[in-house]
Amino acid sequence: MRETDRLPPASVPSNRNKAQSLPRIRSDRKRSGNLLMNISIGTRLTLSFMICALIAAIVTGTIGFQHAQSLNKQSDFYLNLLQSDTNLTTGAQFIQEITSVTQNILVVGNTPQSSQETLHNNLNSLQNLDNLYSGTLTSFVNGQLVSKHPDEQALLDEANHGQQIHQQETLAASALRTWHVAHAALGQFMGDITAGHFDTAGTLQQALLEPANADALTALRSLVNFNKRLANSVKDAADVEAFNQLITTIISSVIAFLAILFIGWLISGTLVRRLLSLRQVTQAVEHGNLAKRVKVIGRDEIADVSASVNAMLNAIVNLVDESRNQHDALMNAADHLFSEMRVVSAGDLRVNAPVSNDPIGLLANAFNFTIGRFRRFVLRSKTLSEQLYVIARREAERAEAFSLALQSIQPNSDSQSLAASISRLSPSTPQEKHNAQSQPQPSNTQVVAHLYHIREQLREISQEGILNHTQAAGELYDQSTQMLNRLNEMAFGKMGISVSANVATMIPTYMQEVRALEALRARMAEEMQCVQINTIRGFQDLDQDLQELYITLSQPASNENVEPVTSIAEQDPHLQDVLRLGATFAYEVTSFSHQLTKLSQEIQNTVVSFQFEGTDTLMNNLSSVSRTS
Amino acid sequence: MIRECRSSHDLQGSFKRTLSSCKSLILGLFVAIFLCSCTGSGGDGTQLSGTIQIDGSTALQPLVAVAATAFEQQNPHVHIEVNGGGSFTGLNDVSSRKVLIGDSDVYASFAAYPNPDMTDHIVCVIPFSVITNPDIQVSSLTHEQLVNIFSSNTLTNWKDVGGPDIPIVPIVRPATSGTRDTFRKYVLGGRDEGSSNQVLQTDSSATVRDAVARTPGAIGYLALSAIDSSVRQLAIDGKYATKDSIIAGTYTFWGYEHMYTLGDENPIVSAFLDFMLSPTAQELAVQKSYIPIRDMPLPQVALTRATDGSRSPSVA
Repeated sequence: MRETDRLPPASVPSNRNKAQSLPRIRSDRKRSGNLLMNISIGTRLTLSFMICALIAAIVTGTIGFQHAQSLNKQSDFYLNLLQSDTNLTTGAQFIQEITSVTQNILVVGNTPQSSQETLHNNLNSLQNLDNLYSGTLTSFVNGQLVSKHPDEQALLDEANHGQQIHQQETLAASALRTWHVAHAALGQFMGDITAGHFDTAGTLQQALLEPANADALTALRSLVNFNKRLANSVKDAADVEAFNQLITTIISSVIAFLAILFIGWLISGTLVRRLLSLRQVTQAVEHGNLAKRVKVIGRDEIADVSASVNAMLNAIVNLVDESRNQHDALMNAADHLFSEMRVVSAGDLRVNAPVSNDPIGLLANAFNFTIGRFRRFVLRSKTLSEQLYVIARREAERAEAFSLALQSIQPNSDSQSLAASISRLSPSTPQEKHNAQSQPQPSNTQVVAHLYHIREQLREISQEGILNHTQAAGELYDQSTQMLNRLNEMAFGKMGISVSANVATMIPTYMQEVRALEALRARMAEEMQCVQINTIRGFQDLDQDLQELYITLSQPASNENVEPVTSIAEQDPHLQDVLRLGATFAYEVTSFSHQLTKLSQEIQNTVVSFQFEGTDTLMNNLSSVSRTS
Repeated sequence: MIRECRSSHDLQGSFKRTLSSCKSLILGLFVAIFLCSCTGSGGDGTQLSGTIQIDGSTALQPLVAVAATAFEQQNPHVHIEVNGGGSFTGLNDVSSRKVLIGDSDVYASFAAYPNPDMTDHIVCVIPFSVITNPDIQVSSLTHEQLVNIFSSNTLTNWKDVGGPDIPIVPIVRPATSGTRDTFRKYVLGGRDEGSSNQVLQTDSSATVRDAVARTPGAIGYLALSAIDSSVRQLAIDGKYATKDSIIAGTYTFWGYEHMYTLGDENPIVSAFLDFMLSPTAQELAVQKSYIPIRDMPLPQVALTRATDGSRSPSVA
């Protein structure tokens, strides 16, 4: 019964908590807008490092590619320049050769016996040189100009030397123009020579061909020089390229660094910030604030931990609330019990504390039970003491009367005093004594009868009155002992299940009081036994004496006819003994009744003091305990 | 990254506080890097200062003068002295290092100026034109007629070429003139000028113009940049000196304008020569009736020759 009472309150909240907390964990987990939060930390770190490695690889690759490309462009450019330079230098030699050949032709032609074969050979070589130079220039203009090579153009543009492309074109155009004039003059010259007009040819050579050739040569040299300058420009371009590469490298490095930094910040942000908020919550819990909750974002480990912490905190808050409610209920019940106890301490034992299902309720139940038992015990004790008191009074009265009777007999004659004492002992006996004195025979039988009657009465008293009552007291003692045992059991059992410390501390004091009560009652039972023994012994003595008296009386009564006077005479020492014994007995009875009265009063006092003082001390103890709790 | 994490752990408070400023800092860093890279390749911050002297061709002088003014405005610490004197004066002065740049209408012949550092910078094309006194109503002459007028002096009266009965007075320039050299080379076909020509003493386009304008029946030649309404332009073979006719190759009386230097180590000279090719200066050239060099295409010449030895059309 106790087990089943105790278990449900403990198990029901845990079940309810489990049922509530599980779906709540799920519902608290929001899907984050940030996809990163939904990836586990390990994957995230791997991903970030892969991205970083990728960035680094891209940067390195870009720089390497750029470098290779620029190297390629430069080498192409230099190759092209070298080739055109060689061609144009050869072209310059052609022009110089043309000049010398024309002079040679004129020299040959002006000699009186000119060799037609030499002239013809010279003309052929002139024609050949003309064609060669024309071919060289044409191929240069058509193929080797920078403007025909977009890569080289781009390289020069990068080096901010873009206008040199057009400058080269201009110089090429000027070379073409001058060569055009020279070419035309050369054609005219060859025509004149072929026609045999050496004079005209000579004039033409001096006036036009030579200056034209010089111009062509100058223009060509300008072009060649310019090409050399282009090489410098390419070097500049290469420098610029290198600078650009440096800048690119620096920028790329910075960007890569920043990107890695940013990714690191992003990743650490997804970790650190949420860990910090988690830490804030746990710190708040450390400081006693249970109201804070972690914002659960994402689906990773931190989100798991955050959700678990939230669930845990919810469970803790529920538990705290529940224990607080229980504590309040217990305190209320305890207060109520204390007020009930105060009523009891005020002397009213008819209280019935309200019984509920909690430990205090059980305590109240026990308290009610104990109070009930105690009340019955007190009532029975009271009745018993009253009865005892009545009996004692009666016995005291009787003993007094008996002793008076005995005293009245003693100063007079022995027989008369005995008769008087007997007659005073009971209203009928004095007459009987008188009758016995006047009519010895009938009076003796009457005395015997009366004595027998007294003996019967005393036996009745000893049997029905004291014996029964002492037996009842003994039973009562047994009952109270049993009750105390039960109370002990209950109290100890209750201590085992008690959840409240103050209740636990209250119980021992209560137990102490109950033990004191038990000791008191044991003493009382002892006294009662003593009384019983004494009374029984007294009554037995009395009975013996009375029996003796009866025998002695009955013997004279039976032998009355034989020797009546002697019997009385002989009876005289016996009477003396009886009187002495009767006085002693009366004294004993009186003292016994006094003792009995004292005892009953003591019992009453004890009960009353127990009612007031004992409960007061108990109540004081309990209230002090409750105050400290 | 690990260190970053740790530091962010340690300095979390300040880290959070400075997070926004960090972002702007990173952004600013980017901008600064880009600006640095742009300006690094964009130009040198050094201010040019100094003086350069230029003389030579009077045909090119007007363009060089305005370009120098513009350049001086761009570079306040640079002073450019521009003088005339004729193409050969310019070539002589530059080869003897009297000036840093010598303007010339003609090529500096390697035989005459053997310094290998003589560097040719062609800055524009100058069209020339034959001019007459405004009283002469002849609009066009052929090459042959011009040769007869200037070289053989056989053509002496304008009425022979459809003009008024006024004797032809050819006014030519001194031997230092590049214009004269060009005229001789491309119009006269290399022939010497006639002995009866009236040779001016100073080589100046303005002098030629004024002389032609003053002298009745005068004929001369002048750079298009120097021509104004006081003289009358004459077509050659029906072609006037226009950009189109020059590009098409039908008008041959034009020349490249050269600016010769001895090497190009001087930064001011390099900058000024670059400036001469810049769109600003080329626009000035257009205003001064020059043809910008960028408008001149590479001539698509076919240098093949018929083996019969036919003469050049310019001479014929």
